[in-house]
Amino acid sequence: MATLEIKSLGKTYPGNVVAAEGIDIAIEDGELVVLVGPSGCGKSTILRMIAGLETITTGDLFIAGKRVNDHEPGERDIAMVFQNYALYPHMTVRGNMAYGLRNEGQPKAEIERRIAEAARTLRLEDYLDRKPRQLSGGQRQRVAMGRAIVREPRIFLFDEPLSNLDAKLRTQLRAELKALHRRLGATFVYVTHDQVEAMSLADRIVLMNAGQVEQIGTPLDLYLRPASRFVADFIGSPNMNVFEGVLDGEARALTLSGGGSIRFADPLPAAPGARVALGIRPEHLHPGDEGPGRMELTVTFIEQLGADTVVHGTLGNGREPLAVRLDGVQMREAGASLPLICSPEHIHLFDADTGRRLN
Amino acid sequence: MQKRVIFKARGLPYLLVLPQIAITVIFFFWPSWQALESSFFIEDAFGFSREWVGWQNYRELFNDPGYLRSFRSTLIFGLSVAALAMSLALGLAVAANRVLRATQGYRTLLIWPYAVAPALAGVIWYFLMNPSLGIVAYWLKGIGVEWNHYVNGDQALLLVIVAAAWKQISYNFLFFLAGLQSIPKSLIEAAAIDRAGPVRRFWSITFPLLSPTTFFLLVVNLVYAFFDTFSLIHATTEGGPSDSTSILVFRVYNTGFIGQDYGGSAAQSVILMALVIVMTVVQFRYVERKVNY
Amino acid sequence: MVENRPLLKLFTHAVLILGVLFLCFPVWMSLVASTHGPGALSKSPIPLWFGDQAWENYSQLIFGGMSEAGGVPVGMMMLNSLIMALGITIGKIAVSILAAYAIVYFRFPFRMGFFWMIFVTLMLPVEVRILPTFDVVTKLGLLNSYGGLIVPLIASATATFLFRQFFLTVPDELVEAARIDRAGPMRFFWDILLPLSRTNIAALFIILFIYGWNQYLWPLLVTTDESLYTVVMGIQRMVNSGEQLPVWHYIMGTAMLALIPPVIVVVAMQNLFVKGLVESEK
Repeated sequence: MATLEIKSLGKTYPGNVVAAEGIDIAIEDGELVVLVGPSGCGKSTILRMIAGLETITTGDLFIAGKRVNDHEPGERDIAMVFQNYALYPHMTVRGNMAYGLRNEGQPKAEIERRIAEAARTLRLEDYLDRKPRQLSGGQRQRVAMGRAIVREPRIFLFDEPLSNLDAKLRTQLRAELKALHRRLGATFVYVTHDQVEAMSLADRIVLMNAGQVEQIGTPLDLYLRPASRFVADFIGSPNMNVFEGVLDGEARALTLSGGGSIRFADPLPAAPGARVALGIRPEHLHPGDEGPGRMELTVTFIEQLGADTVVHGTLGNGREPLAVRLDGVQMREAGASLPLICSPEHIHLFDADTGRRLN
Repeated sequence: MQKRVIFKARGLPYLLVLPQIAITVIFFFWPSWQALESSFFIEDAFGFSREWVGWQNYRELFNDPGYLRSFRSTLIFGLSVAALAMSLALGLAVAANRVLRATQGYRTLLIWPYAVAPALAGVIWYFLMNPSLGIVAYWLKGIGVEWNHYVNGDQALLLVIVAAAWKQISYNFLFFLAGLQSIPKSLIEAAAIDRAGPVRRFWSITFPLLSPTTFFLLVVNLVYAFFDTFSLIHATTEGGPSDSTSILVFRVYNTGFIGQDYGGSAAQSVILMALVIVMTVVQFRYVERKVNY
Repeated sequence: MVENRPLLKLFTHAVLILGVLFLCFPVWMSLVASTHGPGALSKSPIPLWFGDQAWENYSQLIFGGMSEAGGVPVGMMMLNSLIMALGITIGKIAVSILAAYAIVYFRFPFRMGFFWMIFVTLMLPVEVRILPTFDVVTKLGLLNSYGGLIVPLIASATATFLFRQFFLTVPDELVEAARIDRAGPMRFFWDILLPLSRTNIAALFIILFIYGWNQYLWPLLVTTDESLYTVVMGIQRMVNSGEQLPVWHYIMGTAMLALIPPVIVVVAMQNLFVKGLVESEK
């Protein structure tokens, strides 16, 4: 168990391809931190730099307060679970788990003890003498976890470990992983491109974009107060509705680029006349005729999800798309008009040029 | 070309390539260089002295009717072997690919000659065609063909062609069969739905799709006939009668070891090396590009 | 195939049977001839069925040898062939797998230079540069030795390429996992890469064994000592034995003995062999 500190870390590949730049993250002992972002955002590169599989171009990496930039992966006291599991195909499950321990020179009895314990935890007792190809996807995933657990590392690294599994298994293993984290109390660093996975697992999320950190915070921080338009767009499903437009002289009404306008009772926290992007999550819009932030939606189609209904439509003269999430089963005809209101505390305001949050 | 992850070690990789590089340098680059060098010298029979003669060895070669004849017989030999071995193998592969369940069985019966050394193939056919007691020569006499490869140069050439092709059929068969099996079945079925009969299907679909294999085999067969058949000829006709089966690679040996003409042999080596290099380059060019698709 | 035409099917089988007969007939005749005495093989037509001299012929050949060819027992030649074939095979595999490992898994100055040096050897068979190679071996004092028979034939671009090709298909994550498991380069090679290469090594073993066993010109040149003769080259001494008429029953017996080991290897390990052959040329 250990803290992990990343200080202005950067990675430049040959040919001046910058994969990550100026990354600062401080991870507490026993914390579960998820690095999330679209593919190519640099999250895997950072994980691989932590593991020592990628050299560090700039910056420093501290594990438990010790700088480990130049340490071999085997010397960093970390374990890693790979996306394709990377199990040694010619070794049995037992052999896979034992390999690292044997290389460490652990006594035989200790190796046996740890494997037995990990196998019990992960319900792998019956499979210890099988080869990886005789196992199902979920079982292989568990073996990969087992191989990490027996090392008893200070830090666990996960590189999209669930993305090769089907949706149901993924949900199940997510819960198991969370339970495992609680039991082990170790530091977990977890990389994924799936925002749902990030939200449900993380103590804190590091959201990355184009080699830089967009925002670090708890899942709710990111959901409730996204620091940028990018974060707002990435977190939440269906996506946040964002409208670009120009504020009037009192900063109370927004004239949309697509036509039409939305009015509010109080001035918005932005300079009058500024160009802004206004975001409202689909679940924060409610049917209603009276109130602030009123707008009129023309329904184009609806998605019946059972627990709730997503109504898609357009605003103004039909050029601004908008989605609304309504509770339960709701019927709406295409072409029908649906008046909506939104309370001001659910409004996200971003600078239209930089994308940074204004309110 | 290389792994994303690599090991960091300074001396180790050199240590790992060392054995291969050492053997390559000692037994490959050094002799090749020597061949190139001595092709510009004339050496006396005892190797005591040698004299720089420039291109003379090469000039002499190309003024030597025997050498030019060797070029001709090598070409006839190579093309005949390739044509014979490839066409028979293609026919067998197409047939074997059609019989489904029996493919494996026939394959077993057809691939073993791959393991027969060219020298042995030569000796066995030499025996079959022996003018006085060979069974094939006897049958040929029955249909009125007088066979004697000891005196008839054309017959001697034919003998080594048949023996060389016989041995090579297995190899070609395996590659054609692999090529045929890699053609998606749906293509053949689509053609059948388009009302193409088996013969038309073969020429309009299968054969064009096999062209990369065919081209690859053509080069391999030529290389085989030009170089690997040395032993076949050496163990049987020894180049005769009167040089009729003296293909280029045999002549290199004969000029050097029997004729003791070091410079002349070296010049021939250089010419042959150039030939192989050209063939290899051509092969890589086309195989990379995949003939036809 | 697509349609069902009985006549076509019949024709297909006929073609295949003819092909099998064409390939088997010469060896059949040799096998038959090796079981007859000199008498039966002195006049045409020679018998098409086995004679009764098999035991005498083969025991004489294997243990006694043929006086016309220096009287070296063929059994001994076969042993020499085996040593040479195994030496070449094991040597080639060992040397190539190490070189391929270095080229794929390390980055070091002159890496591509080495790669090309190995690549060009693909092009030149030993027959082409026979005289100078012989010269080099003479200078190194390797004539009439197993070393001289084996070592010059060990460098192999083909095997190196096959291993390189295979290594490139091994997932990167395995190396990474091994590095996290504290395995250094040689331990990774030994514990993981080598076991994973088993099938490739086996397939290559078959192909190289046949290559080694069937060597002809090279043993012919570097051995003048009869106790080092190999069987494939030894047969040449019998065929071209000067004044005497060739003793065909012995020659064919020797031919059988020379071709049986590699043929058995190919047939017994057919699937592995086919896979190795077709893939190594891709």
